[in-house]
Order: sequence, then structure tokens, then C-alpha cells
Amino acid sequence: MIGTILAGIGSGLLGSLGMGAGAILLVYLRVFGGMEQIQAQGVNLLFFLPIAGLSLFLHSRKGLVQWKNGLLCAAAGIPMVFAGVWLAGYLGGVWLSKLFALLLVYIGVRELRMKEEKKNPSSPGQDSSPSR
Amino acid sequence: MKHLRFLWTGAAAGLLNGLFGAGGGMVTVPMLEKDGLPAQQAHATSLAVIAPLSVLSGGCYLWQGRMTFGDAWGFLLPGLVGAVLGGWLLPRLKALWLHRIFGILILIAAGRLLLS
Repeated sequence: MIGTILAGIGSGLLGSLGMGAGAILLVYLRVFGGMEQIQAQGVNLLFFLPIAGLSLFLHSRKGLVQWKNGLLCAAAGIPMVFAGVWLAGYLGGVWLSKLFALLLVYIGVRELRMKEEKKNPSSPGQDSSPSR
Repeated sequence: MKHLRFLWTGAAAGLLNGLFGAGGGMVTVPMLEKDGLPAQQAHATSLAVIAPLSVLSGGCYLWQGRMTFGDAWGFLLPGLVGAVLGGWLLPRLKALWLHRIFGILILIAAGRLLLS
């Protein structure tokens, strides 16, 4: 239970810093929760929905959401979601886990190089929304 | 041209979302910032992209029986509490050190997954 709360706090905290909130819960579920990769991914998706819904509502009220551009992107993503879900099932947990590890390497290196990017005024650290 | 970039970005976000159940924001936020959106708007708009894609991906995973609501239920309340706490802690922490610690932890986790 303490691990669950810490994973939740970690996800919320990192998400509010514009970092990979999705990564932290997925890693927790895989490494400490003993879940299979695909199951952990599904749980991660369900976990994200209420937080995303609440944040989207709050951001929308502040006029921060560009709905036209956002929904155009989302529409283009719909067929690729099916492709991604199919590919996940095709690859299976072992390969998916390795590919996810490579994605983590990319995220980790990007985080360690954050010093240079911090000088950028549009750095994600200024935001308060969850990011996946 | 700009619309074409949005389509590519959405497609990449959708693929990552369906494949890994995460990672779409890594594509959409930088792209929206490149298009001139300030960081806050880019993150907010990114949510408008990722949230519907996550609903769809989550629905597909549920339909395929990859997980149940019960698997996620125990994480929802702590997660929301964590998000609120995260928002409270945010101005009280040095972001750069968090990025470094997070980076190291993520690389260790990646190593464990690669070697397992």
C-alpha cells in the first residue's frame, strides 16, 4: 500500500513537472508490482484517465487548450492506436518489455540532459499538467 | 503543411499510446512547442490529444482482457492524492535535481528490464 501511494505521488509529482508520469507507474508495476508488461500498460492507461480528465477540464476553463489542433492530432492517432494495440499483442510481453526499456533509456538520457534545456523559456518545468 | 505535421504527430502519439500505454506526450508536447505554443498551452493541448487516445487504448486493452478495472482500482485514489500532493510540492522542490534523480532511476529501471 505504501508503495502504491509512493508510486501515485511520484507519478503526480513528475507529471506536474512535465516529466513522464506514465513511465513511473509502469516501472513500478513492472519492477515492484510483478505485473506483466501488457497488463501494466493497461492499468497505466486506466490510472491516467481520471487525472487527465480533471486536468483537461481545469486547463480548458483557463482557455489553455487549443481544441482544434488537439482534436486534429487525436483524430490522426485513432487508427494508429489500433495498430499499436495490435503490435503490442503481436510482439508479446518479452519484446514489448525490451522495447519499453529502450524508451526508458531515451527518457532517462533526456532527463539527465535537462540542464541545458532549462535555459529555454518554454521548458516543461513551468507547467502543472500531467504528461505522458 | 502545418496540418500535415499535426497528423504525423497524432499518428506517432497514437502508435506509442497503443503500443506502450504511455509515451504519447513525449511526441506531442515538443511538437506543439515547436509550433509556437507556450509550454502551458502545449501541455494542456497535449492532454486533449492523449486523453481520447488513452480512452480508446484502454478500451481496446479491456476488450482484449489484458487487465480489469479491478487491477487499476487500487491505484486510482492514491494516484489522485499523489497528483494533488505533487502540485503542492512542486514549488517547494528544485526541479533540476528531480530531473536528475528521475533520469538515474529510469535508467536503472531500464537496465533491470533489459537484463530480466
